Amino acid sequence: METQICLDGVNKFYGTKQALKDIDLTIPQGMFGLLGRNGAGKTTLMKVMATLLPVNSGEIDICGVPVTNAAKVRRMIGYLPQDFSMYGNMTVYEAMDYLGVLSGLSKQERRKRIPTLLERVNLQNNHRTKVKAMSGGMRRRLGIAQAILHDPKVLIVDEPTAGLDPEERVRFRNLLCEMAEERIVILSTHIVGDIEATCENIAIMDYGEILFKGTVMELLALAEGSVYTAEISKMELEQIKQEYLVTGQLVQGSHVMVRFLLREPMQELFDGATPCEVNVEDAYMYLMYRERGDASCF
Amino acid sequence: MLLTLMKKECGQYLKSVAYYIFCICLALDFFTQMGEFDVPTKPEEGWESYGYVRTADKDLIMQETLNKLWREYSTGSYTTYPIGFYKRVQLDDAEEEKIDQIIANCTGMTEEEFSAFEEEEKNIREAAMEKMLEEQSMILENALPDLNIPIKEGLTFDDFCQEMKKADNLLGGGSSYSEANLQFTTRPQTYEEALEEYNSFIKKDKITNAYARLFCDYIGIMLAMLPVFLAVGRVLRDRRAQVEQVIHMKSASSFSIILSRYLAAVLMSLIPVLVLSCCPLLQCIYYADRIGEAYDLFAFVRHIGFWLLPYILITLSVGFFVTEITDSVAAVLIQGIWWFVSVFMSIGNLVGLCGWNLVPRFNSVGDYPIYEQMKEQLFKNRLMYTAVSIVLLLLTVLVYSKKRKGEFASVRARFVNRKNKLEV
Repeated sequence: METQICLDGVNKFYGTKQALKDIDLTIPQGMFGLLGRNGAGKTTLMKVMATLLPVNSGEIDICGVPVTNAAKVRRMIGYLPQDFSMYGNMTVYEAMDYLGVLSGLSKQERRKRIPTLLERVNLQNNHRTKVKAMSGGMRRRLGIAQAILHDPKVLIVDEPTAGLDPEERVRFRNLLCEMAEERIVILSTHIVGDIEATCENIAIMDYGEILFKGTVMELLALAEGSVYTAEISKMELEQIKQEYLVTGQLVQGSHVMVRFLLREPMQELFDGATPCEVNVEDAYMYLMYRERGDASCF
Repeated sequence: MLLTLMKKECGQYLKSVAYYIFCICLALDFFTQMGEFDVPTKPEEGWESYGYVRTADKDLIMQETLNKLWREYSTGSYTTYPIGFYKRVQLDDAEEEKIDQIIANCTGMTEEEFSAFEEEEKNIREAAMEKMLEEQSMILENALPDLNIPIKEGLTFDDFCQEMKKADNLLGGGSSYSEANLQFTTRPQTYEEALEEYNSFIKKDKITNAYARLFCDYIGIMLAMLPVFLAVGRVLRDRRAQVEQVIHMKSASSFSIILSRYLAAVLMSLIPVLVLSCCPLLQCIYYADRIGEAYDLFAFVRHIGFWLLPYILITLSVGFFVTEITDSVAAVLIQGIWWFVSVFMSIGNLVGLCGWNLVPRFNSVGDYPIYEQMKEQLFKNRLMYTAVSIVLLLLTVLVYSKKRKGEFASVRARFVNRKNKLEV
């Protein structure tokens, strides 16, 4: 059976509002990042792939099975929603056991898999902790454990690192990368750092459309030669902001170290501006400006 | 999977405060309503009274009803129960004139005869009151002798009912002259009848069946309402705990999920009922042993099965279905209204009322002949509610299945968009 997800001309409307516009996408095995600002349509796209929302037109195949065959698709998919939670009065083990039953696992399978998975997400010492007593990070880890409980071919995680502290975020990203060795992992986020650290293939969404799809290297190549840094005086900052797309600024006494993008490829530069290596955030900002002409976020 | 899920659901109920409140309410209802274990005693010849017995004798119904109308008309005050609550009604002159006409139509008396009768009744009552004063006994309205008002010769029961309907309409409904109250009346019981009733209690009801019916009457009132809270709580719990999407994504079928929740709620509702029924059952067994008579060990279980279980089924079905559709506590309101109407509609007839009412009443220990009369309809009634609950349960599965695929979310979004447009 093929291990990829194919979306062909997918459209989704909420009443008259179009949430997804002609989405064509192929997602191969490994980590796949879905990047976009809040309200770009990432969660809707995740939900239609997870059979939680119907599409108005278009086709989605999950490893060769049409998404309309919900029962079969659900057996292949693990899903971690943005706001994952469980019944507060259940312990970690009870929650896993309950969701294991709902996933169709036998008692023996549950007994074997739950302790292994809890260990994998570092919750082995918390199996008697009640869900209501867990921190946000612990809940996300429980969420990921329940999502792979039935060993799915596809794991869909929606904004998994939002609200986590830096250590938890790094741990969580590493965990996802481990999972991606044997399955498709789709990571939706608006945090560029998560994509940069984990994904090889990505898609960028805005207003329900795919603005970019390809590898991270291809995205970086878009902004190649357009990213510069310079040390300027504080007085010059406003003028630089008007002329260029400033993506970072670090105040050092009376001077400011700025990182900026050119608005046009052949835009004139000032003295002291030096080209620098493009990162995913630069490339994302560059793309958003190029496609939307919107500099309001800079 | 179904059984495992059901067990887990039952476990969740055992951790829920709402469930313990449900059990406490049932227990309170039982201990306050069932009260003491009063066993009917064997009647003996020569007793002053053997109680009263219900009768459908039309002549007696006409006489008793007309006497009552006459009494209320004389005092100018009428008692009604429009939606189950007591109401005192006073009519204006024009309306009193119409009541006067109704009495005249039923009695056939002229104005002079009417006045003479009024005078005669007044004298008799005054004489009785004087006697009571002389004996220094309390003056009780019910103890005063009734003077039977004459009934017009040739007046049929149907014509009488028509006249009473007019009176009931004038009083705003719920009076003693409504159609429901013209079905039967009571009369003093003879020794033979009292003995037969006692024998039925011992031999046919085997004591236990009579108490099982009373138990079903009291507990049924509670079960027609309380389980809805368990159902609503269970459905809304998913939303409160934000687990809807996680559960919707799992491979278990909608049928298994809903059925396991439903059956768990049914079982957990039945357990306290079964436990409470042990109390009167043990009392019955003890009493039967003491007098050396047989008892029916399974009477309570059987009555709970065919009489009380349909209450639980229908109330839970309404709760699950309405809550799945509305994602709100609307089911409590709907069931509450249904419960209120059913309970208070039966207030005029607490023994043997059935029909298609949600809450059949049998507020009596014994009265085996009345039970025999209502039994067939009671079975039909319970069967009908069981069938309706199965249909509602299947509809709940359908709604849940659509919700899992997000089909309801699209409808809701369309509604919200339209509402927003209207507001703009």
